[in-house]
Amino acid sequence: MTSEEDFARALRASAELAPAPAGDLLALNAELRGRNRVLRRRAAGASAVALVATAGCALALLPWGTPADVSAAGDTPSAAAPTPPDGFMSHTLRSLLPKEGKVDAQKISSTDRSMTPSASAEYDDGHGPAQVGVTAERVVTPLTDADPALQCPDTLEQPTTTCHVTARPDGSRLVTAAKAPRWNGDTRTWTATFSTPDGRMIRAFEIVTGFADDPDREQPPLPMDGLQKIATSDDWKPAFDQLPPGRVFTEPVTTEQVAAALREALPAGAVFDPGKDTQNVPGRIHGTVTLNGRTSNVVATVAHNWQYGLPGDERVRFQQMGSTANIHQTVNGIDAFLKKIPLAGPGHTPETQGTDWFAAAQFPGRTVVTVKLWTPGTGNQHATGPGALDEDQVVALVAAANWSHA
Amino acid sequence: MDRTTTTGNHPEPLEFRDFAAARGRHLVRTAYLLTGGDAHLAEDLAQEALGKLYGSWRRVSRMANPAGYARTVLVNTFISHRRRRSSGEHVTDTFVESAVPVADPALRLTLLHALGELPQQDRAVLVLRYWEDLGVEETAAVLRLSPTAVRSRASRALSRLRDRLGSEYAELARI
Repeated sequence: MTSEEDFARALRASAELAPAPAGDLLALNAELRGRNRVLRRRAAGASAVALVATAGCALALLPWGTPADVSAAGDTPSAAAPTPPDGFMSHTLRSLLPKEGKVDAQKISSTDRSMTPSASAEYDDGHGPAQVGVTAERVVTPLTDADPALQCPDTLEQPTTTCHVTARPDGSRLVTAAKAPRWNGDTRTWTATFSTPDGRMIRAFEIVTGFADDPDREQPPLPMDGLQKIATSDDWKPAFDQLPPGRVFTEPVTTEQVAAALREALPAGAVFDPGKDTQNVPGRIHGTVTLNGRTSNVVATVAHNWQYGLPGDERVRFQQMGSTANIHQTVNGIDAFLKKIPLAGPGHTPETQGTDWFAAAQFPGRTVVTVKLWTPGTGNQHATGPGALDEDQVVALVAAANWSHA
Repeated sequence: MDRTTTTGNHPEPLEFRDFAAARGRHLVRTAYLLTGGDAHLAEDLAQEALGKLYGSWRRVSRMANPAGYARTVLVNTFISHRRRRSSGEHVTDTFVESAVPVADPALRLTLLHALGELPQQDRAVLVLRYWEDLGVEETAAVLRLSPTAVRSRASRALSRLRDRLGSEYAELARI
């Protein structure tokens, strides 16, 4: 090569070998990531939201997947829908925070025109700051115990210090929960989730970030009744004006049916034990699976009417859900993917940190199956070694033909 | 090469999806060069960079040069990323579909391989200077380096490529 121009020409020629993804699909996938980033930033640590963000949108794969996940699939509010003014969410949040504390003006943000309007702020009561925020969503109606959003977090998946579910006389539900740190220095999260019979849900949260050997404060700046006051305020109503109506609940398969299908789909010799805990909801089962002397925790879901009633093509939404997967496979005509989700912890490098395995498969007729597998480690941490099933077995499990008949 | 035209503030904000669909391919190409020909990582980085823009799109869309900002975010994402695929996904002799006839794939792959062996910042300097066609000052601004550092890195990187490629270096000029 004789000159810089020659090098530039060679570089341009080499760039032609780059992949040429469809622009629209690339844009949709980027938007999906962006929305997830926003959710993580605004509601990081809030149990259900964090589950969606880190566990591969497990809730989204249920038939009652929240509007947050719908928006991730690319659906946006109609242009004709009334919209709250700019800054509505952050303004409302600020107005509901106790005046004796201090809000950092540089660290308050608002997402007003979204399928999940949200706001977050750094609030300091004089004893250290916490991230305080809210998200607004629509949930399916009528409110039902089958909706994970109205239940305490599954303690198998999410270590939880306390959780209370209150059904109010007017039909509304209030769920208050405190997430336990997984390790020394992990964040502590408190949430108050209020749902009304007409399908409005406000989740208020507080997050305190700690560092190893620098203990978090045990209590957040806002006590739980303060968080409840924010979640139950009528001031949030305008945020729902732009959101489409919530979906109507459709009966999912029973827990027993999911358990039976899981047992049938497991590889020969594997044993599933649902344990004695009853913290399961229809369409979902959790327990342990043991094979060749190794035992891992497992959560499986099956939905025959996956995201029924939502606009757009569910196959495209499924592809988007798997856009960041590590493995894509077609097993007997069934599209499946597997994500390896690393869980950071103190002293862990990317090579040694614990891993969650999340797999999903889409069957003909809107049936979607998910399987999450992980091996518990010390305390609340996840183990780094191999689990009861390897990657191929997890993919084969989630794509087993018998799920269609669950 | 795609060019970014700076025309002052847009009269109306761009839609995110329109922007991402229009610029995505170019960002993937830039990422492909930055990664030394890792197709999967290139798509991943381009998506990640666009995803980062999404969160502040209202502000970004009103910038004079959203495409330039997207390029900066991509380069920073590349430099700060930790390789998640430990097995590595490197250039192979299996080619993705391309509208351009691939007459000399081996040479191009050789160049990509060699690029991939350079330090990340040196690669970024070369890609910004010779693919994005940025000046020394602009490249320095994107990478937060001094113009002198950009010049020395570019010179050193080209020299390394020349040493690494030997006689093939001259052949590349005839691509």
